[in-house]
Amino acid sequence: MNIPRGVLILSNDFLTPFAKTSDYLADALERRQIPAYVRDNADARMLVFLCSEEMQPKIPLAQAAICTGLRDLIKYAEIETVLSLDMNWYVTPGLFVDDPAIKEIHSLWFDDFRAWCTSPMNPCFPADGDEFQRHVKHPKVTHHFYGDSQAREARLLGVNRQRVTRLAAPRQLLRNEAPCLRTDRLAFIGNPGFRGTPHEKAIKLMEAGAEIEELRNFSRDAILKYPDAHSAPWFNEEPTVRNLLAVALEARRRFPFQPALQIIQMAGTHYERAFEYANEKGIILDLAFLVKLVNRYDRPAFVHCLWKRGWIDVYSAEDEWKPYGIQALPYVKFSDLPAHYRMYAAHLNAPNAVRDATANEKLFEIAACGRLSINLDSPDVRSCYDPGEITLVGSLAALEAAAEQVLRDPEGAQAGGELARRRTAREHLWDHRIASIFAE
Amino acid sequence: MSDRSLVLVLSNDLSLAAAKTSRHLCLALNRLGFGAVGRDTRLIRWAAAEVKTESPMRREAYEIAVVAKWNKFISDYGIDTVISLDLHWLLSSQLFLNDGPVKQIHSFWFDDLRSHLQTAPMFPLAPRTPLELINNPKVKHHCYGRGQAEELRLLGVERVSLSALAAPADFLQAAEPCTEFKRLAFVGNPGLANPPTQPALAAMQRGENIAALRRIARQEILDGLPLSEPTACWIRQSSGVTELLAAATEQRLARPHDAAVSLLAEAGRIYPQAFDFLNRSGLVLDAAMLIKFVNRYDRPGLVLRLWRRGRLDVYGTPEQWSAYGVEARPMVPFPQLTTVYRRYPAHLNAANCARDASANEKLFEIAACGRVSLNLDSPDVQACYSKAEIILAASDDALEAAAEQVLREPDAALAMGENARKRTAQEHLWEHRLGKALA
Repeated sequence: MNIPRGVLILSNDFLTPFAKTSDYLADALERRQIPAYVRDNADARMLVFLCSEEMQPKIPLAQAAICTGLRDLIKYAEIETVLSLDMNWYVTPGLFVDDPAIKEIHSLWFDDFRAWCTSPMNPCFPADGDEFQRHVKHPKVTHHFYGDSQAREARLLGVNRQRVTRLAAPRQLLRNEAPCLRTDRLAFIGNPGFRGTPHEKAIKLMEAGAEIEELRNFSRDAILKYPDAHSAPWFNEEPTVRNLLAVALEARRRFPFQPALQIIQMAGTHYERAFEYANEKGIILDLAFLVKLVNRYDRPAFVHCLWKRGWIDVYSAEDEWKPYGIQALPYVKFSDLPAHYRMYAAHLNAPNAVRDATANEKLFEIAACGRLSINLDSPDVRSCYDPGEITLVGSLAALEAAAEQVLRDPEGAQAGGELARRRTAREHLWDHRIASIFAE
Repeated sequence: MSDRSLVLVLSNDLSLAAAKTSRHLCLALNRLGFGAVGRDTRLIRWAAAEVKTESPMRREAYEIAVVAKWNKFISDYGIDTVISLDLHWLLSSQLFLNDGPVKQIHSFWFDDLRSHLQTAPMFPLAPRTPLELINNPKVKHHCYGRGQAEELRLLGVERVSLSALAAPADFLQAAEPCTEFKRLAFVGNPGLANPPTQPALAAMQRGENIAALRRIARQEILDGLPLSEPTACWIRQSSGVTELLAAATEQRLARPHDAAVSLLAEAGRIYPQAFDFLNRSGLVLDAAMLIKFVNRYDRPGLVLRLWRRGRLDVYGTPEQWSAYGVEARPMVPFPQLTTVYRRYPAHLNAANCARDASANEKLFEIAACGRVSLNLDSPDVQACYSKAEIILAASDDALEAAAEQVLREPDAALAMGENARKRTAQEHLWEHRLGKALA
């Protein structure tokens, strides 16, 4: 076991789910007697923004301020390893990759490269040339992906120092024994996934009881029929892009868990001009994103299906659920999550369409709390738990049947949840991931 | 709904000792059953100061963004308590103090109020004063020294209590062997970063005792008053300041562990006009700092005494020690502290003159590692350990003799260290301090 003397975890506290997981990682490290220091870089990114706007001459000083503080900590805490979700460790060029004290850098991807690079929450200090690429592919850096397709997407982008490392649950959830108070309903805690306003026809389809297949068909067609302001010019400039996309969208409909980027690449072999155009314009990842949106209604449809029957409580992101006709209960703060998970006999879980990965953090957290989750069947999820520990469904009809079964037999659901808890305690804690990261 | 309280521990990496202790506070809170998350405030403070000068139009927007980030963090996490060393929690008048989820704020004082306000820039607090903010009913102040607590009380700080510093529990597990029996060690810096004067250095090299060094320090303070700013300006405005400071520093010679600010107030009864001038000009803390400097050569004097006899290894910032003619080994990184403490049978310990508190963190850390510390006698230190657990010397001669005794009989020193370790396990871990503060 390659145990570092100290680990620096870079969080981004603008995004509290990242911050929360950063703290879970720190707890898991400390349990292994590895000193861990969580440092937020939201302030550094805010400073980048200020420098780009009005404090241009201050750039070198701001970079120095960021670097000095962290270098001092690295020196006196004998930090050898840097760890973060996504590339939250990358704020200013060279800080860690060029520091001889730092031996390893681990990026645990929550998001995908495109989303990370385009997020307004992640500005970085400017750098010449392909500095970003140098950092991504630096020999010190290992990228961990929680979904098989997410990992394949990165490989297609040339990220070879990578492995699949599933997400996990914090150990303290295992201890929660709050009672199950609601056996007449299930719960879903989270937002609809993709933030764009849903098409009204999609809502009508959901209300009419359309199956997931139909919604994916609709979504496939809508992407071409109602192109957004961003993609419309591509179709005008190079009409074959539409053909390439049509083929890719259909492929995704048929193989909903194949990596979107791989699909684009394969479709590109038939539409070489379109692919070349996309490549030259730097929009390959944008096209892949559109392909992912074939699944955009998976999660909302899942939730909507049980909401219509009055079988589910939905928590958080009230404004985002409203367009789906769903009245969400207030946001659940992190410290209340365990009690909310325990309050219900079972929870609905469905992946966020914008990521090519389906075994999300909730999957493990619900299980750690000893509760059953009903999931959309996918290879990622199946590789983590067995049927009996969780429920896997392939359609909305199957979902309704599974939910009805939970409502009829909540004790049976809780027994399944207990099995999931045991499996989580054995295999799916952040402690296991930390052990595996430092095992090599 | 929450099954446990969640505490935010704020540090400032500008002080790496604070970063280390903040981590230990988080771990102790976890062991007590609290959730704890640690965060640093160094960069925000740097940026707050820069934005103020470079982009004043943006200052307010920047503060709003910082406050919004923290408020979301507090709310999403469900944090109800904030703890920090000094006032690292105080960045903005709009954070933590308003009606909101944070119900308690605890300041564990490492430094003194003046030094903290000078070294930790923050967003403008006006129209409220720092005193109004730190006297918010949510805030409790924990001081590790009697003088330090007295100073805060005299300044009008409310809810001040004595709470000694402590050791991290994992230090109790340290088991490295003692391998250096010919020397003791001192881990730390000289205290004040500026170099000693030539006369003081010469006195130390002659082996003058602490009483003499204090007299030299006092005379340097008084001689410097009319020669340097801002003190020359004080004298121009109120000529009695010289007499006031002469009286207060004279008292400090006699009562070296009394709070400097109370000595100043006492002298102020004889020189009311001068005291009134300092008070109205907001200079009381600056004047009190000068009085503390009477003790500025205590620590380096003790170190130099043992160093010159070849009885001491010094670990610290080599540049600061070289001014005293001491060749120091590099600063000990945090993970190696227990190894260094365990390597020697005993450690010299001496207070930092800039603070009116003498039971510093090292006192507890050395003890937790099962090693004996040699200290100059003071009420703060006496209150924490007995003579069977640490060495308390009434003078530097006595301390030197005790050092010789340790080197002659290291087994006895190691036995005392074990006693100190047991006492630390029973009474002086961070768990004990936090358990009491949060009870």
